[in-house]
Amino acid sequence: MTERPRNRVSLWWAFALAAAPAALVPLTGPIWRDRLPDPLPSHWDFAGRVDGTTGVGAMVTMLLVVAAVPLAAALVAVLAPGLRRRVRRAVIGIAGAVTGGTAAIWLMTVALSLDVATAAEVPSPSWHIMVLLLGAAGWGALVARACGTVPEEPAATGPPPAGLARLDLAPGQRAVWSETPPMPRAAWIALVPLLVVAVVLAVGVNAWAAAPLLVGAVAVLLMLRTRFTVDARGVTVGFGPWGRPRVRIPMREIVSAAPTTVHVFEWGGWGYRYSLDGRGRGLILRGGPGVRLELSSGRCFVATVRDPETVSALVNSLLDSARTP
Amino acid sequence: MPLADQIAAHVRGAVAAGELAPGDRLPAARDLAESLQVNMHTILRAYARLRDEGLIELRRGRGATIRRGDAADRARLVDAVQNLLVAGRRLGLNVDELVDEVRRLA
Repeated sequence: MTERPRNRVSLWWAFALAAAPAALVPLTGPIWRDRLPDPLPSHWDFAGRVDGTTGVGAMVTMLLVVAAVPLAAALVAVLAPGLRRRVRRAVIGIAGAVTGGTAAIWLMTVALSLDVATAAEVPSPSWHIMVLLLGAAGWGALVARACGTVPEEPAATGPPPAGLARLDLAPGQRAVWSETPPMPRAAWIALVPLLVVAVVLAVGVNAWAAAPLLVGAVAVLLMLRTRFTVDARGVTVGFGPWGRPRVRIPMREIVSAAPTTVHVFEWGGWGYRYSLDGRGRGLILRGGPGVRLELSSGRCFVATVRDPETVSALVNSLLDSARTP
Repeated sequence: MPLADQIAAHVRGAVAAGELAPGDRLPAARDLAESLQVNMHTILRAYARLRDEGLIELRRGRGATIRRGDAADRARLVDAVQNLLVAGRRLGLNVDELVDEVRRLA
């Protein structure tokens, strides 16, 4: 796939946005240097006492190194030929989140340490941690947005192969499949320890230290509550109680559908994810029967649904009526 | 048959067949309306009808869920009553006469 020049320009803008927070650290370092204790606090123990320190120069260098690694990957994502837009956007967006995080760590340390005589007297962070995480995620999202829209995949042509199952739909009959797959039981194996650690932190340190874990747990719960819909527009996966955000595979990109057997280990876990070989995306909420869509890009989409035979027959029938004049 | 009644009949059939289990959530009326390319009020009318039949619960903000307990049996009863009404109409019986007929045969 050849990139149009306009698209390449937006990638450079996104890269510049991703790099900007990293520049903040060396630029502001000299300004605040005289008002900061040296060494700076870099770690606090459970009781909120400083138990690790790093020299100002070393901390600036360390943050720059941490930011430089994903930025190098982002540079490759801008320049390398033949990469898919989605991959470029993901790499540059993650770089933005990491550099945003390093800048936030720097600003948090400065805010806590400014005009304090020694590292040992610096108070431990509280709400700063939430702001740090939200800031990093927000900057990553902004950078990903700056990468521009993903170009449309080529349209599939012709009805699905005749050998695949169809539903007995009358002409003009409208049909929809909609289901909410149950949450995977494995989710609780991840959530229960997360919540236990959150409670320990909330009691032992303070509520702010536990907040990021709680936010993470809620995010996991929301992302595993999905609604899977098939209609004449395509296949849609909606997340959370409001079905937003959502992922839609438009009808025009679907070649055919057939039942398949899902092995969770081939996907490396549960949830909405890419397969380990990168050849497809999937909504993997359990092992066992699922539906597999062949897409015009040569990739696939797999979902673990209640009745894969009916779902794949419905998709093929909808494709028939959309593609036969 | 009006569209809302057709939609209600499909949901009722799925409840009677056990394809929809108690506690299952129906899609939000707006989403289903978009999927079926019908007016949202048509879906709301279908859902209201299913609620009146005792098959689903409609709660503000929580959407429509299949009622716990005897939803499948109720769905079968509503289906049977509707078949009865159709058969009665064909024989020219009004509802009262139909009820008498039911009493006589019970």
